[in-house]
Amino acid sequence: MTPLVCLAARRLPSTTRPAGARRHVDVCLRCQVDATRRRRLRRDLRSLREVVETAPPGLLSAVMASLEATPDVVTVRRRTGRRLAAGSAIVAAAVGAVGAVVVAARRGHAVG
Amino acid sequence: MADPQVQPGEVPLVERARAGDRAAFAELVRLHQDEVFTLALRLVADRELAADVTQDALVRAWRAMPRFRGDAKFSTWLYRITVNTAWTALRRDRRHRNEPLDALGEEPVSAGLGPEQAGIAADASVRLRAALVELSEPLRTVVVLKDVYDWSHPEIATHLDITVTAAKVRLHRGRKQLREILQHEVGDR
Repeated sequence: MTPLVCLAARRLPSTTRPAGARRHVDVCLRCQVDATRRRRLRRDLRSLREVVETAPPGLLSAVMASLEATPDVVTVRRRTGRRLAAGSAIVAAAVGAVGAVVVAARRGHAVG
Repeated sequence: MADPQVQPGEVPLVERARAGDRAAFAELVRLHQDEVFTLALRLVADRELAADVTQDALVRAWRAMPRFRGDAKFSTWLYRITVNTAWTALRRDRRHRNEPLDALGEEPVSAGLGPEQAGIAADASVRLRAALVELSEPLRTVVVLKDVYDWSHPEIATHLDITVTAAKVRLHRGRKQLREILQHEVGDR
């Protein structure tokens, strides 16, 4: 079983370890073994970055086929722009029509 | 995040792809597909799902190309999309949690080592990848992004929609579990 003093010393990163804990780690073989394991694990994980897996064959063509099914981005933007312009014109026309009706109604009231 | 070198001729390709040139985008896919697939595989620990994630991420990248402003390297931007896609896929498909070791599949490419060194490194690498597969998704994701891909805690927190403290706690737990798995494995031999 790991002594409590070792557990306490290991809980803190080596950079923020108080002097007492540092002194303990300096003389404790268990803690030194633990520190070595931690360093080795970090190093092995970093080295995993260099291990590149090969993408499955056909991935490129599958991606390009998916793009064929996807509308072209530039076309989509143009279409969206045209739709927005058409929508704005309809809204403007509707607002104008409602405004004209309201004005006409008020005039009617005033005459009556 | 640590990036591989920018490929020669990549910048004009990116510009052309932003303008909607599919051939240019296909060339970018060819250049980056292995790296994207590797990241996806490290995160989801399943080759089939990783292939799906890679495909989805690349299609999303194509759709988002007009919004790529070049503030980050193209590869960094692509990796962020891949992480988001992988995270979405994992949440959608919880069945892939803690897949068995056969998810590792074929041997990877490990360049620049002599035969003996390559043998030792390959052994360590295989054991480590097997141990990573045994971690739960939340722990594995943080360990991979921090210790393998060198992302910062705030970057991880933003992309996984968790707090920085949660990212740190997951990293601590993930590393601890990894050490235990590897130690246990050595003890079994």
